[in-house]
Amino acid sequence: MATLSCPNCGNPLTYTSPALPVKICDRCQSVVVRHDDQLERIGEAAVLPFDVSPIQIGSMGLYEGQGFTIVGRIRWGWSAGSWNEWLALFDDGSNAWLGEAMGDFMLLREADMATNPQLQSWAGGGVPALGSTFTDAGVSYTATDVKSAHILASEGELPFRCTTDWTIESVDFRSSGMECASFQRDEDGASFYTGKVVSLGDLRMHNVRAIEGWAMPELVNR
Amino acid sequence: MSGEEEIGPWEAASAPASTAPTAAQSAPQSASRAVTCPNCGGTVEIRAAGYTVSVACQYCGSMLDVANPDVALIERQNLATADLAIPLGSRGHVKGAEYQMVGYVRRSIEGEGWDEYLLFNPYVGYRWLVHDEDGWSFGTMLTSLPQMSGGSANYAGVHFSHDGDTWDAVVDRVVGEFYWRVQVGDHALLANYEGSSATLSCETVADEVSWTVSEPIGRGEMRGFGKSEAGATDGANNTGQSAFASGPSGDIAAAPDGPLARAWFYSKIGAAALAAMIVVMILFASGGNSAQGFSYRLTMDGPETTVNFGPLEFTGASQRVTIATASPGLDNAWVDTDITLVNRATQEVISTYGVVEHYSGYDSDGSWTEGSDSGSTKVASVPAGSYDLVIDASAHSWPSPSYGGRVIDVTTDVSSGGVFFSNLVLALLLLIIPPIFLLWRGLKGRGGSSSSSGDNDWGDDE
Amino acid sequence: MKLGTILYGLWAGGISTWFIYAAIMGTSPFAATTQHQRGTGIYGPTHK
Repeated sequence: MATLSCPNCGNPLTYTSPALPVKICDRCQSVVVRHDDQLERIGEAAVLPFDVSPIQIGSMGLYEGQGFTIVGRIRWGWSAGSWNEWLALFDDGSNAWLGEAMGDFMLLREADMATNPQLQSWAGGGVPALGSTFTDAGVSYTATDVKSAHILASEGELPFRCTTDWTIESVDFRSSGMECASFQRDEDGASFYTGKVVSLGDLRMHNVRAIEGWAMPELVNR
Repeated sequence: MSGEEEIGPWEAASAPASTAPTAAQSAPQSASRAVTCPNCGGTVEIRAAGYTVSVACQYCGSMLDVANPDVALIERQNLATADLAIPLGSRGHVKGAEYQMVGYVRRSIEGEGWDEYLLFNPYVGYRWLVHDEDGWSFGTMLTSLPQMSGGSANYAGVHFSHDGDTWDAVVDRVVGEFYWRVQVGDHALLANYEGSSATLSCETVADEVSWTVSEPIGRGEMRGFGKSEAGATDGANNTGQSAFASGPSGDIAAAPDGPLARAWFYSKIGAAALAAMIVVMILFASGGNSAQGFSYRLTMDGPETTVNFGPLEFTGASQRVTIATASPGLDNAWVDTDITLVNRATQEVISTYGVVEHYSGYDSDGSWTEGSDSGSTKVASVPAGSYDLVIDASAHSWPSPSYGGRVIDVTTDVSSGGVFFSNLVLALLLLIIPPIFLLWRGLKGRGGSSSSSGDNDWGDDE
Repeated sequence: MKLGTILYGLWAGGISTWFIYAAIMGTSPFAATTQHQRGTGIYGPTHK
């Protein structure tokens, strides 16, 4: 954990983990990258459009026995909508993405594609088509969603530089159970994430955002 | 993007709500945001900001695309939102959570339409209330895929079978906001899979497939949703229960929907009517003229005897007359009577007959008896007047005629008044026809095309 | 109130009304009796 001053406006910036070198300054929207103790301002992030997501920076939860804190967010947009991906930092220093769309949540960790031949073939080039399948650990996944997306805005601490010209092809996979996966290709390469469909209750989320006029559900309000 | 980000038609947001992890809970964030309609300039409220992609301007009816910060005008269309069963923006409680109605679509298949109400709760997400001719159902989008095999789907351990049809559904009307792009005229392919207590709907739009599970619910399971939210919510109270939009049991308390719920409701009305009729019957039992009794004697297997009694006075304008015949100790014999009431003044004749029979004996199963030593005949609509009662009677021995001229005593009691029990039975049968018909329709409706209420859900009508 | 409820209410009300009328007048659609003008017949007038 390190607290340094924003090179643009002097606002204190907290860097919770070495794995998350990028921080969006709350006050001036500067994107500031940390190299050891040096800070470099590399640009400005767009202001987040208003939304009624129940998650906020600082929300905490429990997944597979490990506690996590939400430290950052990227809002992705595509031609017919947008969604949030919240960055969850676990107690052991690892991180995962909590994807939020249409009120449903998925928690996904980055995974290695080398272990699965079908994934490897996609890693080599191209993007899985709608309806394509692969099997991993006995679970069959089907691609249910393919879209081109770009970053609309971001906040908090993030593992990579996220400039708003960054466009990805994103493919969502679902199974007949709670498992889900996501394949992303951008100009630098492909990455792959696996995880589960979850609810706020499953994650024992607390410190969620209070929204005027709505009572926080019991499971969540601690 | 460099430089100042143009906020555009979105109302100036407060600073992005990123609070330091250790900061105390700041004041609750407002639940809605406003957008300026590019067509008429009106302020359109977005209740599910961040999720909503399309919203209909409530002033000019234009469909707006709010997927991006710039609000794009899609299409103009009709207004008239006041007629919705659930008003836009109203809140209510269903299936254990509170929701706000944020969007409405009316869709139809070959002209037969139904209503879909999109419900939203920021902590729970989206749900659906669907209203069609069979009643209401509650829908949830699936987050995992059903397992398909042949014409069946398996989800959450339940088997759903396809009814064989794929339907083209078209959007007829759109009100409010949605998390996907939708406008009047959009098409989708629907296939329904029936399970024992729920239905899976598979919807395909341009290769993309989405699944929804819906279960029928009674109107009593939906509370609230009766008034628009204006002035009905207590914005500052977000720790306890949110204020409901209307009082207990809501405005949906009128007649329930769905053939089965209606059948139950009508049965209750019918039962009340029947109870009233039974009360009437009891009251009338005590009225009327009291009995007058006459006696005569008959010779067993002798010639037919004619006896004449009177005058009998019947005072009501029209009444039921009961003629009770008895022969105490009658056994293995029957008494045949032709009964005639003759109006003294008009000489109008009312004919009827009565039989009193009683038999007994022994067989391999033991002793048996049949019949009774008394019996009665009831005559309907006897006009007022003075009557003579003329009885042609004969007594016969069973199984074969007897000899010896045994004489038996016969008494006849005449009374008036009372209600025919058969009328009550008739009334019951008539009352029960509509509920039975609805019950049949409700059970038959499980294989319906668009959606069905399937299993009975006897909604409370409060 | 829905049309169906109104119609059924009228149906039940009508049946109840008929029932009360039948109670007062002692009528029944089932009671099988025959009424006819008595001729002078073989019995003659029943009274003097």
